[in-house]
Amino acid sequence: MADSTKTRIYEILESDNPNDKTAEAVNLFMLALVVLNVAAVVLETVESIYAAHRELFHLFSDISVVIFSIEYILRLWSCDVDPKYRRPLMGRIRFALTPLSLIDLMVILPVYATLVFPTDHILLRSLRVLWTVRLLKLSRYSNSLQTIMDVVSAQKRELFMSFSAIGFFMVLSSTLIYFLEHDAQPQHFPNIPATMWWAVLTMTTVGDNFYPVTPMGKVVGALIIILGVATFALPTSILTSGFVEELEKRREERESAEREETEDGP
Amino acid sequence: MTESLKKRIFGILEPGDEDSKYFDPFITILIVLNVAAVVLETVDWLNASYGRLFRAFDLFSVAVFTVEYILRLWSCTENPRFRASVSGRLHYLITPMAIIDLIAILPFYLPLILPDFRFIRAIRLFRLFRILKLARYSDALKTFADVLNLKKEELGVTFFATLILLVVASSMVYEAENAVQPEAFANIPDAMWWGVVTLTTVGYGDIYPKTAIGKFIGSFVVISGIGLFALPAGILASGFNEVLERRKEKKRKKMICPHCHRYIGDYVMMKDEEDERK
Repeated sequence: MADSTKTRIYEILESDNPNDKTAEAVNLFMLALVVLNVAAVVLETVESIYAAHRELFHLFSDISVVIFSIEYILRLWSCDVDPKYRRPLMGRIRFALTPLSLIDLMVILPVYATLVFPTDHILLRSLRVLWTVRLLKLSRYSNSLQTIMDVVSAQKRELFMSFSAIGFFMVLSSTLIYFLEHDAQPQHFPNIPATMWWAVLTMTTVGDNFYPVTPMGKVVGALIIILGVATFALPTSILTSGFVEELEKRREERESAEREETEDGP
Repeated sequence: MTESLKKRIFGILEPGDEDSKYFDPFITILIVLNVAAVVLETVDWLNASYGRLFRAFDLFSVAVFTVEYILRLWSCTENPRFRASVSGRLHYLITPMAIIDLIAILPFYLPLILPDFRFIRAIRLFRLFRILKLARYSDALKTFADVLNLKKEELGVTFFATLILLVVASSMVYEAENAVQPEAFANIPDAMWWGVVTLTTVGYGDIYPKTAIGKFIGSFVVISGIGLFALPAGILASGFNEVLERRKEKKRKKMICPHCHRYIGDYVMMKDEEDERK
């Protein structure tokens, strides 16, 4: 009896069977709760809204934490249905150490800690934004996240190399510009780390209101900008071509699958 | 006895084999820490509180790099390319990596020979070129050099076109703006600064056209020129893909069955096998 309840609870919490109406409803409810919580965390930082609905925000946060705590406990209790976590104690510990469970715990625990040690817990309640990680589980419904991950992992060597090149370029160019501009504008280029901030803003073409003013600084700066903008754009180009490749591959796979289907037909 | 010692030292100094298992990471970390030190030293409060530490670390690094340089020069005759004891070493001295090694330690010794205080700060910043020593160990930098080499014609053409566009556009905007803003657009080089900042889409907004004709020319230049300025990034990215693709292909080798001498598939070569083939 207890076992069948446990199996059912496990199914409701973990299954991704689209025909299971209860599981779908629970899933949807939890996701809605996550989205509402994130919205609440964002709105709480707006002084006027928070002041007017203080009680409501706190109540909502407390209720959410209680619901997520119950869910966490149920998950932990029922996880040994999964063959991966079969052993009653070790299995549960391993389940608790999975990234998603750890994040749940990280959000819930601090809130209870404030019950024991009352403090100003605005920051602690902001941890609720971490629940957005649960949206990652949605990737099994939508392909796009998986595509992005595939592209990044297929191009990881290229990406690593382009980021190394960027780091290398940034250090060298910041030092040059610091050397050329420090005396003329010590307030804007006080040291190399501050000059690196200039380099980032410039090469990403965001632009800021400090820039080289000395003639040499401008000449070297212009060269650095032309080369640097190209270097900083490398990851973008790599990802773009990676995407094109990946989508091309998928289209070919789909087309060959369709061809096989028509060949198998009558 | 000395010969075998020399051989051993040569093995340790050359990156990427069993002998340099500890030396490679040690020197890489030392280089990275050196770069970090040069950068952080320019922050006043850090320099004020940890100045002695920075100087001690610099002393230590220079000592290590100097010993490394001398040992490399001594043991380079183990490399068949530099076998001759005098001309081989001279030949080694002018290789790019040897020059970089020298530049890495020279800033320390130069003030001892020429105590001229005007150059002290420049010389201190010169230490940053120690970062180039990483080229020996960093696969990424080597790849980047390969990419530049592979795409040098395309990049050359693009930069040449960019330069022409820049000169023409800046001269036109200068003609249009100089009368109205004689300080901002004082000369064509000033207008070229505007051109670079604008065409790379950085847009500092320190100088910009104000006359109607200047704005018209400016808009035209920007719309037609932004694509040109974005080209190098695309060229570099496709170069990366090509270089890495080639490496993958090179690593794949045909496998021949030793008994029937028939092709039975591809396999990926191990790193030491590749070195052997070289």
